[in-house]
Amino acid sequence: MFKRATGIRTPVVITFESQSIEAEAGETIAAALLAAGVSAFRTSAEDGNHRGPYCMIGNCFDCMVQIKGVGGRQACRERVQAGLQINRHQGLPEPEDDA
Amino acid sequence: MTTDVLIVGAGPAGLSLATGLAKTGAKVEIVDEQPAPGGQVYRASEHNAATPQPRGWLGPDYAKGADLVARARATEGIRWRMATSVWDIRPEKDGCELGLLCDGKVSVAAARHVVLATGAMERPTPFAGWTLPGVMSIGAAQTLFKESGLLPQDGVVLAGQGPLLYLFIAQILAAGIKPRAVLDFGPRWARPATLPSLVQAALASPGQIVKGLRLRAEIARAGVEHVYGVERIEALGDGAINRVSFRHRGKIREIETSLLLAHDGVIPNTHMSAAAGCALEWTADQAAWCPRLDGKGQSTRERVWVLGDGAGILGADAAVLGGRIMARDMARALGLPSSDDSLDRRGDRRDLRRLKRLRRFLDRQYPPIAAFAQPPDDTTICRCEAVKAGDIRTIARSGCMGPNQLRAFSRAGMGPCMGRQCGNAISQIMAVETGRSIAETGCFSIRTPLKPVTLAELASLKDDEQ
Repeated sequence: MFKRATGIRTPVVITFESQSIEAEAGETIAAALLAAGVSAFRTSAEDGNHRGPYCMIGNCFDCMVQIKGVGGRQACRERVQAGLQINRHQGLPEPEDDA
Repeated sequence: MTTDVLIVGAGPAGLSLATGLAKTGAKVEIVDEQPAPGGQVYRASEHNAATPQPRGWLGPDYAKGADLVARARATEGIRWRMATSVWDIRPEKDGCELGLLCDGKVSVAAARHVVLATGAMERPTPFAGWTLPGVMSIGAAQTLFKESGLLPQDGVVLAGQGPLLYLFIAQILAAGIKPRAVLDFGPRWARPATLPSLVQAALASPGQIVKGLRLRAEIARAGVEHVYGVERIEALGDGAINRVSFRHRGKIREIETSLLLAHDGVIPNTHMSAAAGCALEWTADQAAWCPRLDGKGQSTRERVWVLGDGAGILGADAAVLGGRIMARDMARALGLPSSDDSLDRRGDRRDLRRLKRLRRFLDRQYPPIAAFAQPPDDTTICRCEAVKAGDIRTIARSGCMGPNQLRAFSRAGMGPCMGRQCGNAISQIMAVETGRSIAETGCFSIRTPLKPVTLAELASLKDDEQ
């Protein structure tokens, strides 16, 4: 999908699900994940399908991930820090039927 | 001391206005979501100024941003609020308040006047499969290139139309990337109906027309397959895109790819002006909603002004000129001594008129792609809530009065993006389905919070600011 045109200057390691990823400190989490070949950032609550970054300017919210356990974070805006644990943002499960 | 002018958006418009106003002695603050100024067009200018690449690949137009940012940075009297989101806007009689969010902390900023310099966004491109991972906008890929030095890999397919399509391909060609194909919805040459506006544009801005032709020649020289007059595209794959299918002269072809980048021009980003209660009007020339403004950029809400591409698409150079002109007008409105007299007022207005003639041609040469504006029933329109074009048409046929009622019926526009991606398309689809004009059909009304705020973040608001 994407490749780095220039090497990583200040490498740090982050984790996506169980995958260790080397990334540039301070770059967007979206850039770090895309450079590592990750394209599925979240699961849609509506149809269960995978979604990934679409607009990269904070408008579309399709790049949402879970950072340190907090979901709904925009990967195109949040920045890479050493040791971050990132997971797919999971769409909310359907509410249970009370009837 | 009260802030005189709070500017939202540190792109070319906001930077130019901030610089001009601060020179008059006005107390200026500038807010932007990005950690550094430049906006989307000059994103990461400061970062890239220090290294030859990717700056060289991005070309001379992008390089202009570094000077603009440096001039603003060197101007005293500007308070920079970077990496800050605006989640609330409340215009009052004697000023305007903004709810801000920075580093997980909420605060309130107030100013006598607020200028929304929120720029442009890409016109969303609904087509079958556009929600698959690996389908992105061209602007998104360009942002990754500018800020992170990320390049699409060989084999990328680019689809759509407009100047940014050609510019971006030239930029990645310069960086040594070989796209698999360009699926161009535009015609190879100017449409006959656009010829008069082309002549006007060529007389007003010959350099820009030559540049467009040069970019296309570069694509041809690189041996990239460039299909003009594409009628339809569809992204296919299971869990992520693995191929794109397209129709050209009635025939359907497929190309394998893991990355499809699409683009259909840009539209004003009106989310915040709508939230402030500024009247928006459908602007047929640009096929977009624009805030209704007086000749100076004042919206229909007192204390709220709109500047740059957020007011109507004219491009980065026009945004800089507009910022300089508004700085003089606002200085007068604030009762401050007029700004730098050495600035060439008449020259700025003349240059602006030239850029308007160029834009008129671009608007006519690249009207919105019909296949995206009125997509088939099974195409997702609201990405957040997975609402399809057919759902919208069914609801419109049942007598739904407009986008705001449709939102309640379908949840379209109620997801985290709050209608930023689907709003335009919904107005257009409903208008066609009901046989009314887009202006009559209307658009989403937008309410706080403009960005998601957690309760913990809200709780960080200090008592004296509540």
